[in-house]
Amino acid sequence: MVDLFALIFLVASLFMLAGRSITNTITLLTVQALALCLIAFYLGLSTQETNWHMVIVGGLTLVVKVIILPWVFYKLVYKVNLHREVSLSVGLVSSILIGLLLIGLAYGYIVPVLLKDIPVGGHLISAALAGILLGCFFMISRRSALSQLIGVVAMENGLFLCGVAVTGGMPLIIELGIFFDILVGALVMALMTYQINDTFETIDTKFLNKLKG
Amino acid sequence: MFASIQGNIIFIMIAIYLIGAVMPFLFKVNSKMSFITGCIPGSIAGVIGLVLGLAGLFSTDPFGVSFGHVLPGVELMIQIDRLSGFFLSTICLVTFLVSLYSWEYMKIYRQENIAWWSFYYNIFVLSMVFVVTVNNAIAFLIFWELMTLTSYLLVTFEYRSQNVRKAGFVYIVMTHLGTVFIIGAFLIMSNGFGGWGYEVLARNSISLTATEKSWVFLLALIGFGTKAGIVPLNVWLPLAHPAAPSNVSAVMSGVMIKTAIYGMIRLIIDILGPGPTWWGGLVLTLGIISAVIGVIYALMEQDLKRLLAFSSVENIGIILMGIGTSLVFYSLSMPVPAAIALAAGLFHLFNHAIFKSLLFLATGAIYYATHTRNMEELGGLIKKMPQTALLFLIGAISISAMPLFNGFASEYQIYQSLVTISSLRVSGFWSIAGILAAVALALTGTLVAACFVKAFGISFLALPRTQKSAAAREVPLSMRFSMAPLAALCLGLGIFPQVAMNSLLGVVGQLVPGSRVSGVTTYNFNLALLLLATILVLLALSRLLGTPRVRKTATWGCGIETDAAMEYSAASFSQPFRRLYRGLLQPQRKVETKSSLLPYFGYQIYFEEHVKSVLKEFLYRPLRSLTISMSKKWRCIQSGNINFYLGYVFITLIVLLVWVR
Repeated sequence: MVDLFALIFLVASLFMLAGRSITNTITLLTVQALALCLIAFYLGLSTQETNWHMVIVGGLTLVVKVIILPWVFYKLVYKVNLHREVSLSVGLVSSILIGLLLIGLAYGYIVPVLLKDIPVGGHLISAALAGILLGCFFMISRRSALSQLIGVVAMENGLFLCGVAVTGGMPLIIELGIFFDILVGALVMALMTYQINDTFETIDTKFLNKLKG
Repeated sequence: MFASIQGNIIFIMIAIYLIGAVMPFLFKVNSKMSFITGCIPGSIAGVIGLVLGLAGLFSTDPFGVSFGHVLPGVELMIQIDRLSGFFLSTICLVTFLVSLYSWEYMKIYRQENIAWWSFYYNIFVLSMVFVVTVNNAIAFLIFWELMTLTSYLLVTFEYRSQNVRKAGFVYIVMTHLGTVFIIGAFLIMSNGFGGWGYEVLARNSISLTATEKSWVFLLALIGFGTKAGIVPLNVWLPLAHPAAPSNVSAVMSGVMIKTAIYGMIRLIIDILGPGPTWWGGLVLTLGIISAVIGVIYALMEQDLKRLLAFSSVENIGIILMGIGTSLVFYSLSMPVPAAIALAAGLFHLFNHAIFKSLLFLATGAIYYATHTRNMEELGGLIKKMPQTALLFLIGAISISAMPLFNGFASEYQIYQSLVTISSLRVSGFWSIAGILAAVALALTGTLVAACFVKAFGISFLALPRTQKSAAAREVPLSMRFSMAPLAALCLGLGIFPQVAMNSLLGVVGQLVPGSRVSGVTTYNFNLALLLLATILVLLALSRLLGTPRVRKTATWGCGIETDAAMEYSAASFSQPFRRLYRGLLQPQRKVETKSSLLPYFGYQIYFEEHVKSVLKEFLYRPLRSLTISMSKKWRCIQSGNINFYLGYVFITLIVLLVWVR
């Protein structure tokens, strides 16, 4: 069951690389976060006695990553009027190929060779690492400032899954801290994006080159 | 820890410096009050610091006060032992007088932002106080950098001029480079844990291998040498000193470059412990090179402050000669002559602090009165400002190591040490090297004398060359009064040098145990008596025999009306030396004659002669162009495109993942 959600997570990450429309990307990000939230709930409720830690974390994921962040992003899209397709720095086909390569790297090399000492069943950790790499590559391949923001959140989702997979979640206080961080970070970056749009009339990052001395 | 009276006094001193830094902002509108609130606290704190420093110099046990931990393993603690006490009293003595002097002097910068000046100045002095008194490497580096930054801001005080900004840039680049080496030296000595206190580093350094010790020595020598301005790391001195206001240059040249000597002694002799003989030999050689090259360039200068800046290079060289000799003696395990040589070096350091700040302040007085520092525009000032002239003359005599003044007293001790090296017959090499070093010191002394005959003669004697110097008036009383104690000290220490030498032997005795010297006896007082007697006898003789009749009349000028253009100029005075050292200086001469109607009548001669800085030409220019071309080649990775930067991160991540096994 967990593996199914992990697969959804991974597919959503890969599909984010495949599209140019920013609204679709946000939807995919929401799907990704939803998969995380379901994994947490499943892990929390499937055991004999309810693991409240996981349930709380799942609930937080639902509130922050499934509801608040997509809402902020959608609002930003309307505000800066970004219904057009974003420009790319790596072509769509090649970015999907690289994405597949990264998934292969995570599944074929990093987890079985590098991390063979860590006892993890299923492919949760592989999916998590692949998610981090894909999120990072997403940031590289997109030129819009908003896409950078989405990439950061995608990477964070991967890290979160990683934490869940390896240790069954980090201590609650740290988890809370991370959620607060990502929330505030995303809000600040959204604000910055808005400012960039105000100053440059665009959020295409290639115009940020002008800032270089 | 040290909840003692001294601890409270230290707190009070720091508080007064901070008051001096902040108060002028409150009186920004009232410029008179902002001068007072900036300078008076600085001088009061200077007096307190002087007392503290003297207490440290003569007390057997170090005292201090702790401010608690500021960083993990870094306890900010002031600890004044004899070495710190000596440097603290030197710094505070000079800054006390300079603060008094600044009160009037800074009025020529009235239209500038005086509050900021006071802030930087007081923080600058305070950071120097901390540099010589903290007992922790990290705290030392913090205040060292603070000192660099505040002095940079003081150098660029007249930031509207392009030259000043350039000088400031060179200064900050060079000193930052130096700091890199100092950090390297500290890093080798630290073993990564156990803190950064000096005693911890001293414990660690016992277990270092000989190679590691030599690395520490070399790094410290380069790092502190940059700040001290030894050749070839002296490029910033002749640029930064003239750019700064004169009172700031007095502090920078008088005491700031001495903190580098403090660092050297503290790190190499106190913490690391004396090493092989070649260390001393290297320091001695660098000292000789700095002394000779420094003074030759000083002799070429027309700008009084550039001349003084180069002369600082020369004096740092002489101080290093003392330290180098002492390192040689230590490595040959002869602690007594080593102690005397080190004390001689420190004595010269103190003397240089006094007469160099006196000379800079006197130059400041000239600038105050004439608004120029170019000797070719001065002349005849002795009649307009006789007291300033006397003070400058005392400084010039002291720096030229004339008997009865302090420069002679300390250089004489260094001569003695150099001659002792050769007379002790440790090896054939050192017998010759000691004599050669003494000869080099003698050559330096001669050239310095020539240099300051030129500086004094061209600026103060004969007729005024321009309207600027003709209109000069004596500077305000407070400026003269703040220079006078320095001049008095020059004479006093020249007549009674054993007072200073014996207390400095105490400092040295603390640094390396087993070098207790009971005391040094000098005969300068007898010399002074002898000279006085000779003068009295001569005076009496001339009275008895009667003087010939004096007739006052104009000088006969072969029928031509004499004017200032016929005077000996600064450039012509140094011409023989330019010719003598043409291999080093490579003078480029350009002479043009323009006649208006007929040849030989009403013609003008245009003369220009530049000297080349060999260092700039052959060391710094290639280095600079290499750095620039390398940077240009690497510039393409700095595209400004955010996706590229992310790509770098990503590729690094992948490479690390694949590689790390």
